[in-house]
Amino acid sequence: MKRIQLFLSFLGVFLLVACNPFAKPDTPLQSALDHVREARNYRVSIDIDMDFLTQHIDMRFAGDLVYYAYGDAVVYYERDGLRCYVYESLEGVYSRSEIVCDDAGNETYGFYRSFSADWFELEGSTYHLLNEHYQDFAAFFHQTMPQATVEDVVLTLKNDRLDTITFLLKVDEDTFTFSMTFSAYGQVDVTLPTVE
Amino acid sequence: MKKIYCFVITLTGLLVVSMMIEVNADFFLTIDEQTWTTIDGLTHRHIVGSINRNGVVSNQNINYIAGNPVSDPTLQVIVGDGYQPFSYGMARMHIMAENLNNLYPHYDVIAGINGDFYNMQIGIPVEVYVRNGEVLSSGLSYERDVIGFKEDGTVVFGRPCFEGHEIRVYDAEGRLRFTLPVQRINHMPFETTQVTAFFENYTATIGTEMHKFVIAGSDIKRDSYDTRYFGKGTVTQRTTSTSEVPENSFVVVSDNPYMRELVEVGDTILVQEKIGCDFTGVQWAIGAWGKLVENSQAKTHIPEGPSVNFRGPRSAMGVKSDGTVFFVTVDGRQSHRGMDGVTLYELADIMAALGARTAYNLDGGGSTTMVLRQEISHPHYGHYPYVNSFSETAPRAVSNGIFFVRGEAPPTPLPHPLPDVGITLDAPSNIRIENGVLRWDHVPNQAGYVLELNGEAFETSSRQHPVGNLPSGENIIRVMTKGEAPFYRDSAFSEPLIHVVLPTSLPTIESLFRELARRHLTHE
Repeated sequence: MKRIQLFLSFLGVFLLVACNPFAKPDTPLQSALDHVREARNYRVSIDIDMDFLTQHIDMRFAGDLVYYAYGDAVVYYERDGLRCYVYESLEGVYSRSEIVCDDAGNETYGFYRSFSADWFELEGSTYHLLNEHYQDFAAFFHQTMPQATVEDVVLTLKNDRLDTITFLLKVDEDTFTFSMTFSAYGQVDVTLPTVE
Repeated sequence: MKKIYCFVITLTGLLVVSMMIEVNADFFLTIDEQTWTTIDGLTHRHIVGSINRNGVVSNQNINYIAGNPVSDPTLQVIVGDGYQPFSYGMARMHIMAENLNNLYPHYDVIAGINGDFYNMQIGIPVEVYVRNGEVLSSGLSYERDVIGFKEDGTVVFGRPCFEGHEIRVYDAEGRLRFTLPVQRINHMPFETTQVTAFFENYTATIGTEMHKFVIAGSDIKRDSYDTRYFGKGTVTQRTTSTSEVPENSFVVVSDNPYMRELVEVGDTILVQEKIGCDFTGVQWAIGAWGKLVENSQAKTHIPEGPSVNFRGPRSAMGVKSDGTVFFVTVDGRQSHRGMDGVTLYELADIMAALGARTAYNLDGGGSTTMVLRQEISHPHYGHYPYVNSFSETAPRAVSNGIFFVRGEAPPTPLPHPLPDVGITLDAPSNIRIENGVLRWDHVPNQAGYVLELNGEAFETSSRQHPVGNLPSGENIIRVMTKGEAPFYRDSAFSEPLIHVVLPTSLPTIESLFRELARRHLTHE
């Protein structure tokens, strides 16, 4: 009888743990955010539209290699064990120099990797940032532009993955319309330039 | 023929009276003997007497000739000289009178008095000399007053402005085609619209491909400093080939549309100093030295003039309030004949006594000479005997003189209407922004530019404009070349330059994402 009671107790504890009513539901958004937080191979294309001109940033992440392009300028980052390097071009000739490698811990730069699903509200098929989290979102920009404000932050998913983040950024008299597109999960290949 | 125009009324009287004119408490003119003659509208008075100034008495022989060109429209006051083409020179007054009759057949010289001081070697006058609108000399001193006579009979005094050289172009019939400023002498033009003139003292070859007009001079003169020139002659050649300045010629260089389009071989070209201010439009002008009377008051302080306090023969010209012009000679250096001569102060008192509102001293001493045409009834009618008693053995040859003439100048032919020869200038090109400064290439013959920034236009003479503070976004920039009428017209606006100014915050935003990318690598 005691064995039966002990078994039932274990079963109860097991069921209680397995069916915790306070645990977060594993929503598609949370799943997508979790995925991008852990992802080490994907691409982010950013269009910054200013009515008269659109600027483009292309970021490609491939494990220990990063490709970053803004306009005609392309920069590469490389991690080699405990060392990190930047590859920069001067008049078409790349050179490599070592950079700081151990600045982990500053989550502010994580930006979209710090998002939590409960910051957003589903409207139709898009996720809208709740008002109380705009300051959290804007913290990324406030690092260097404390006067900046953010509006209309919307996320979309595609195939259960984070697909786009769109928002307006206002700095002084200027308004920038951001469109960040996430793609090529697990398919990015970055080749470092030849260094002379 | 012109003698028939000489309607002469001659009244001669001999007054042997003794009368005294008191001008002020310190000056008395005592007339012992006076002769009045009226000839062709002029009054000639010959006064023999004495003056008492501040108690000092001197004997005087005074000649006075007066006429009113304001009330008598066919009476004029002009100037004459003894100049030769390509030089100056000197002549006696009666020769000058005859020269004037030959030079201007529409005038008949009645009387004259010697004029300006001059260089006794070459005869160049000390001050400005304008004869029939032609500035034969710009003078040497520029520090003395000038007497100018206008066509309406008015007389101006003072120092004229000099406005640089000018060119006048006349057709073969004497009609003025146009007048332009001459920017430089013996130098190439800076711009194609400019006009420069090369004279004989420029001995190099004029190598430009610009239009050159070779003018065979009828008269060329220049001052001792080679800075002021007079040139008159006939266009004999137009060329764009290299050229030298032929003997007794001058060459005008310009691509100015008026010069290029309007000047023909056979035209008459005049290059001379342009005088202005009160002397604008003066047809005749001559230099003087020493103001004697102002506002009808004899000057009590004469700061400038020749030997102000020494007695000698003197010449002077005055103008009365009614416009009457009169010449006066006071003979001197002949005390044994009752001709002591006067100081400038005594001359000033005499001029005031004779009614001058304004009077100036002219060259005196041996130069003091006055001529008066013989009466029509005289067997030597047309001759110009001297009415004063000159102090030398013969009348001195002088540089120039002032003359009363009877007659009217022929009407000036109407100038040619100026055609529209304006060339539309090119719009500025190679508009670019370098280091925050908008620049564009020089447009020849421009008179400035109009810069339009985002629809707001303003004129500028510079070819660069800072644009570092333009608003972010697209800035539309256009530039227009200004053309100076009538030779050039404004260009159209250039094709717009779209200058995008990125927001100043964009680099900051971009650097945030760059850092994000880097930390993606380092943040595990």
